[in-house]
Amino acid sequence: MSFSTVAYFLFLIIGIVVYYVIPRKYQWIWLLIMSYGYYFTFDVKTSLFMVYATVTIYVCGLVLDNIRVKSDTYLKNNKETLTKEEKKKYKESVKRKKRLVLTAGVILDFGMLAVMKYTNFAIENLNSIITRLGGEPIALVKWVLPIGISFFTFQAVSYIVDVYQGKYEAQKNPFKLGLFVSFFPQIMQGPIGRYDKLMPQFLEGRKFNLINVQFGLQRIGWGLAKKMILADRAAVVVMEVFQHYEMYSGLHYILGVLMYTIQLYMDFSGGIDIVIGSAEMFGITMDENFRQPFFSKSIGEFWRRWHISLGAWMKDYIFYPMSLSKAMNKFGKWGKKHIGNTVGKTLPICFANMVIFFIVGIWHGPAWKFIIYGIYNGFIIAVSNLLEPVYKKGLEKCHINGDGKAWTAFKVFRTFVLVVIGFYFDMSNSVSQALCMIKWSIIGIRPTQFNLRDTLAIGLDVKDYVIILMGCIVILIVSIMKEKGIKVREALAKKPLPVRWLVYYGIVVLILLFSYPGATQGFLYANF
Amino acid sequence: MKEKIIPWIRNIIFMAGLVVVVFVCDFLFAQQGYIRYILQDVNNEQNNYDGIILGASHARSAINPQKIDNYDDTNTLSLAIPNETLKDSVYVLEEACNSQNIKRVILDVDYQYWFIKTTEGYYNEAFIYNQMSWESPTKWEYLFNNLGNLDIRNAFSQIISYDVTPETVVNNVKQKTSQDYRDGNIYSLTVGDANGPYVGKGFFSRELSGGLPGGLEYVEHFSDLVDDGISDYAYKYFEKLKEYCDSKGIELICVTSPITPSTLKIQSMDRVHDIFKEYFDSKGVTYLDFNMARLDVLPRTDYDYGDMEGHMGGEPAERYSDVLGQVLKKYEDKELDMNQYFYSTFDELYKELDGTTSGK
Repeated sequence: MSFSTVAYFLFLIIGIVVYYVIPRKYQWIWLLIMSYGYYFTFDVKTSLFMVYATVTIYVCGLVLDNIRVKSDTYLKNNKETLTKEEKKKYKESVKRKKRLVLTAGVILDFGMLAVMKYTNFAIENLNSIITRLGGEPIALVKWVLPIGISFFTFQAVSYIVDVYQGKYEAQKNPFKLGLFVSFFPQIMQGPIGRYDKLMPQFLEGRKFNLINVQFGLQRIGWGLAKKMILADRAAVVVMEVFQHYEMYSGLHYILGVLMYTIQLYMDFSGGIDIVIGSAEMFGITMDENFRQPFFSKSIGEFWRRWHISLGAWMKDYIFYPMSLSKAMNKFGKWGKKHIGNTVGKTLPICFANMVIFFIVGIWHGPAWKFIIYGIYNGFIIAVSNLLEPVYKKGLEKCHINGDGKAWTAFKVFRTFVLVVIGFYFDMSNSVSQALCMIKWSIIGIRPTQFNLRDTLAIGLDVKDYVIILMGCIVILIVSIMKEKGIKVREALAKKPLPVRWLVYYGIVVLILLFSYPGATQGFLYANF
Repeated sequence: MKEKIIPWIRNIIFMAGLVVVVFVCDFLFAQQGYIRYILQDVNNEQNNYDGIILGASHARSAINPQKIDNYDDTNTLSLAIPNETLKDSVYVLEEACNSQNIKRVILDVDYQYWFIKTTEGYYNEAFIYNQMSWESPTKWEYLFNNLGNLDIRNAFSQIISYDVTPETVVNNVKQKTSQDYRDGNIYSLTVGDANGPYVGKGFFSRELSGGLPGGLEYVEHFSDLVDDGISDYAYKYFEKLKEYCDSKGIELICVTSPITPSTLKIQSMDRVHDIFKEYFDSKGVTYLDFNMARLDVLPRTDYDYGDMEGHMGGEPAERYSDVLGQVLKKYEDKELDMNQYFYSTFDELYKELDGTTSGK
């Protein structure tokens, strides 16, 4: 059930009516029913994977809680009799047990993700070796990838790690945990939610508030406009250039990748708008997943503003545990001793970043191009970290104000270019295609391509480009307002009724008149 | 209490405003063409149609219903619409049955629509639904049955036929305020893809250039389509159509209108024929494949077509419709001798055709 179908809106309407009619203490049950009902519209069988993820973290959570309670009781009861040494030993054994349970939980969940998503990738790579050695290739498996598996697995793992770390107690009710894993608006494309933020909202129950419904609808309308007017339109050029890249070069490639940038941002952020708007109608506030990413001054900042929930997940569950680990500590010390204080101190962070972005890459899909995409981003961040002192000195020598407007604008532009180069890997069918397109984007530019009328004529009319341009300007204005701390929706809500209605009707008219006259292509991130 | 009610009233007014906005956009930007008019025609109870021809563009250009009616005491309308899928045919038939007492359906079987793998819910799928009136129960049925894949824009507006230009607005206002529009006068329309004047009963007489038609490359493009077999989409909706006909006591006859002779081999029409024959036999449905029509009964060359894909010209269409009328009449009277009208195998046909397909 795609977000743009009649069924989805009907589903929301019925869902909201029932949600607010039933007693508040049962509202979470209704959300659980809706969530599984929503998932069933895609596939009933693969929902078992969601059940599996829920059961594993439920059991692990209970075991972890049990260990914690038992150890607390033991320590409390034997506070007087145990020596310091014995306490330490006991705590270590408890920690080992907990770590074992955590490892089991993580392996069970990530194992499922790895098997389902990456088996064929592994076989393909294995086959390339086997065939070179003259062997018979292994047949690929024909599994249906459960929708949203990357999202719900990551969400599930975050819960089990948090319970392990004692951030909160384990959930005793498997159905409540089931709701956390399956909450319907986010199941397709995130954001990757956190238990401590979502569960209280699920369980509190909500009184009907018309404002929530209105705000939710506003947000959905905004998301649909971004998707239908801009993303679907830009997609035409993207498909043409990237699918038939042998036919193009130079400015065509640059146009293609810029259109992909527009498509991806409008598609993903538009989808997230619909997700957040849908949840808002039920009085559930979800975390934002974007914060004006193209205003970033570095790649590191970009990833803190783009797909925020994934970045935050990586930071909390991989980066910090890894960079604060004993091994990294040793590595840092070794670096300081052998390479120098500054670089030695930075090296573990660089290494952790490389690992994180390798995972970010492979999270995007089972293909080398995604791995390279991740490593590319990780490498830039690592190099930036390593060269930061040099960079600062350079600025000082050249008497450049690093915080000045012109330099900031340059940094924003530089980051944009680096991000866009990365998107060649994201959109191409292979690494070699991406490299070829990057190369020919530069050396393939021909004077004739500056005849924009011809260059732009790739599936779209001039009118379409004008729509895209105007749309981007509107998004830019809204982004600037947000960047300045203006809460656009709240500001709009304070305007007189005719102004508000004019804006709402305006969005509907814009969608009707300027949405791309073709199918709403599936949301890009729904494939993850 | 008043404070609680006012926001709700506002919302209701807002929603009503939304309906008005969509209506105004439809009025100004949606281009109204043939489909809206032919549906209006079939919705007119006074027309007393009892036979319907379903199919797509091949059927619209090949079958003149009047020729069939000349042999039978029937009143047939062609509801063949370019790009009409089997799914559309089901709903178009239901739409017809809302106002007419239909006794016979002639389904033109164009194998492209049966063999191409179609996924339900593609954006332009709703183009006929879009033109149905909200007063039509069939429109509501379509909406209900397709909730899961009908785009929200398509469901409530005629966005598929939008053209956002000032000229379109001017033309639309002119057209939609005219008497011809209110009367559903198809003769007042210029239907570009018909390539000829409207003759009546859903038939357009396609004009031919006199030269050998083009588009061979396009035909060759789907020459191996037959390997895929009939699609699940086609099975599903043909079975629905059959079920509907059975439930209403409507006689269903399937025919394939003849296509350009020189492309028969390219498109493996012999294999296509076998697949259809086997399938329709299994369903107990009569199937008449006029690609196998004897050349002495229905002489034809490539020059009789507007393109190599097989859209028949007006004059040959009249001849073909006449033969179709004879065959249907004899079939109804149980006097049909298949050998009189059809070759028994494609090989027989190919022998006769050899060297004559593109000669006049």
